[in-house]
Amino acid sequence: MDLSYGPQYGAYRAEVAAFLAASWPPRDGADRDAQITEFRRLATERGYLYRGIPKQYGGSEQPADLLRARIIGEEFARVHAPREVINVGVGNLVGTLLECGTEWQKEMFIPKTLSGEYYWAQGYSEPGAGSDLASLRTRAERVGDKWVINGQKIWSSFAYMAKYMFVLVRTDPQAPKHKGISYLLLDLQQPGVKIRRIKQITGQSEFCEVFFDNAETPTDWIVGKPGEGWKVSTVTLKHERSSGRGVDWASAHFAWLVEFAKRAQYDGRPAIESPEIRRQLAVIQGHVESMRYSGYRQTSMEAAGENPGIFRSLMKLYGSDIAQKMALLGARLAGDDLMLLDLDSTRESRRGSDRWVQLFMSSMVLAIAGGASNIQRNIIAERSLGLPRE
Amino acid sequence: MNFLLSEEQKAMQEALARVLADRCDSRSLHAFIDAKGDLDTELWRLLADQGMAGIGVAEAHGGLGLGVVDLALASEMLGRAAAPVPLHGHWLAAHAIGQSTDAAQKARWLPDLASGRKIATIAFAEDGARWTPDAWTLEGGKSLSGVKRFAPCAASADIAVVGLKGGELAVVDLHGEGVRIEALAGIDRTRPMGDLHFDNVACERLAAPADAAEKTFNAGLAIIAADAFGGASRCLDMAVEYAKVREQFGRKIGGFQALRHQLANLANEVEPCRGMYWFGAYAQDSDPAQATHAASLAKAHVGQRYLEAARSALEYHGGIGFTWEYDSHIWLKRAMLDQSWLGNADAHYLRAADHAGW
Ligand SMILES: Cc1cc2nc3c(=O)[nH]c(=O)nc-3n(C[C@H](O)[C@H](O)[C@H](O)COP(=O)(O)OP(=O)(O)OC[C@H]3O[C@@H](n4cnc5c(N)ncnc54)[C@H](O)[C@@H]3O)c2cc1C
Repeated sequence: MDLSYGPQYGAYRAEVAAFLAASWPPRDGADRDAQITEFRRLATERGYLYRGIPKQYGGSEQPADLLRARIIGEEFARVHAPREVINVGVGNLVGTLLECGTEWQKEMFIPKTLSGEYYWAQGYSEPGAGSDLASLRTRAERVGDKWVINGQKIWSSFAYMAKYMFVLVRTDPQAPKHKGISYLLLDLQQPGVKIRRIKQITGQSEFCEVFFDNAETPTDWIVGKPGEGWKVSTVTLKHERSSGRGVDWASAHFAWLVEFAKRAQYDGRPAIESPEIRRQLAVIQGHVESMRYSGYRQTSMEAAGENPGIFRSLMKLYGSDIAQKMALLGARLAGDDLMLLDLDSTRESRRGSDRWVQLFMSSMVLAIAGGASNIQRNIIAERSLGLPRE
Repeated sequence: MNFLLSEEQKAMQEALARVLADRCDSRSLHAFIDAKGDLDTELWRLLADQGMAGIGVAEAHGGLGLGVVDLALASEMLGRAAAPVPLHGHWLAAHAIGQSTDAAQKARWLPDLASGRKIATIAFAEDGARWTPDAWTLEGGKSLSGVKRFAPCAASADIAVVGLKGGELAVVDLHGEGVRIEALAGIDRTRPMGDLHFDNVACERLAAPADAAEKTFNAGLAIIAADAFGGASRCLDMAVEYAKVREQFGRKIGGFQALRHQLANLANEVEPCRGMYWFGAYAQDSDPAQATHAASLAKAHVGQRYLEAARSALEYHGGIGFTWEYDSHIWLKRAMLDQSWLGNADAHYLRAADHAGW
């Protein structure tokens, strides 16, 4: 057990800070997207982003180091510098391709996904297939050198602005439910694809319905073999649940919650001075720190080739529960402002408590998307606790 | 840089688990509880021979020379087994004396504590949940007069490290004149409690730095958090195992989704506590800036999870869980002690908040 920031870490922190001082925010007046892309390129070159991804595919391929990762997270957050591209392509597809993709697929898709040039949508859920994903009905047939796709996906986040989609389709209607599915990559910008944005409770319209009417994709744009799509997609889910992100999310939101408590009033004084609020904050911090150090343990054990036990299977549910606790405390701190939110305002124009009123709603996504909490409980009960099947 | 146990640490946990599995089976625990025992002398001897009494005592004084992390790892095993041993108070007394700057003082006490020839306890609490060193009021001149409360395993102890006004510490010979030990009707019979009544009792001041009491107190929080994790994970395991064998409605109850989800939630509350107590202990050895915050947060968080887990796990056993003969209540009652001893979750959440930098 050694979490000491030895002298080399002090030097590392200084190095990261110096890099950021020199490169963020950018000084020239070029277009903001171009600036961010260039910053990410530089930061990756220095080993600060995409640390787990091989250099040949555009990552920085750094040895696993919890403290360095934490220093990078803290220093980047301090100056609000962009980190890795936030997209299901990065969080999900890249890992899948690394495990199951062919060499040309990795070369063609990973680097540009990491840079943000290729933006992806995930096409799993359908109106009749959510938690019971394997009952999906969108089908693909092989015609010549193409897959021809017909059917409908739903809840596909940011599909309206995505270039590509990774999609689960039924390629063998005769095979048992889990065996007839394939994992395809698909260009969304083609006549056979229609996308309709769906308005969310937050007022934004991020997720979409996607209709396929003889949409096409080349036969070799398949990850794994035909019929292996279910297996390939569970590799994906494994990547979705990796620990670092959850802790980063929880720590950042907890820090904001503390800031909110400093501004908000409770019982006629700044909320942060109220013992009741201080205690509630500490309760949440207990969960956040439990997640952090259990994550450290898990990462260390995996790196050492040891079995960390059941914690990995808990990560998503644990994170959803923390989000719920933070949302409820944020709601208390918001006071009467909980009744107010201009859903049409832009992110930038929002007032102090709006972030929390917004978060009160958006935090619920954690318990639904990417496998609803009850499905997580099913998985924990069966695979981690070894309870008999229902 | 890693957050892993060393081979020695794993071996120590395993060795301890083996002895405890053998010696703290259900029958022995119930026998100890029903006899209202003070000390299982044979078990104490076995553990002492393994070096467990002197985990934290310097090698020069016959101990293993290890840190709070190692004490906590051992404590987890005690909690899992509900071991009826006076180690918690003993370890903390040795921890306090180990901070003395007076070589003769250490040489006087530590070898006997390391070998287990003498048993020590700590007497920190005063009436009104005054647990922390800054709350102690007992005046200590050359002799002591007054009451200290909730000394664990007081009846089997030979000496106590007593907390005094101003956060000072003193060693008291419990066999000496003017000491009366009042056995309490403790809820957790695996760790019987006593109040210490002093009437003009001779004491020996610890020649320790001003923050010694604070450090021993924080170490105690980490060690109890570890016990709580061990106990809570045992509660989880018992409930899961029971769900795999108990049948109702013609099937194993573990097949019912309502119970499966309750057990998944229980795992979700309990398992992450491991990392929490590890860090709580680690901070005592290696991260002084976070030591108080981490100790209080771990004690509050894990102690609270334990109390809840023990109740839920008992509930999932149905009527048998509510019987004296069954094992569930042994851990429920340890959870009640772990929650309150050294200060409850309410107090420690607030103490953590005060050291969180907000
Ligand atoms: C903001 C947002 C973004 C999303 N983005 C995407 C995306 O990009 N791509 C994509 O493919 N999908 C996406 N989803 C969809 C998401 O994955 C599904 O909503 C989710 O898998 C649940 O499926 P469902 O909506 O059909 O709910 P259902 O499966 O109908 O579930 C309804 C309720 O029943 C419970 N339930 C279902 N089955 C069981 C069971 N066996 N036991 C106990 N309880 C059960 C669930 O826990 C849930 O509470 C997104 C969803 C949201 C909210």
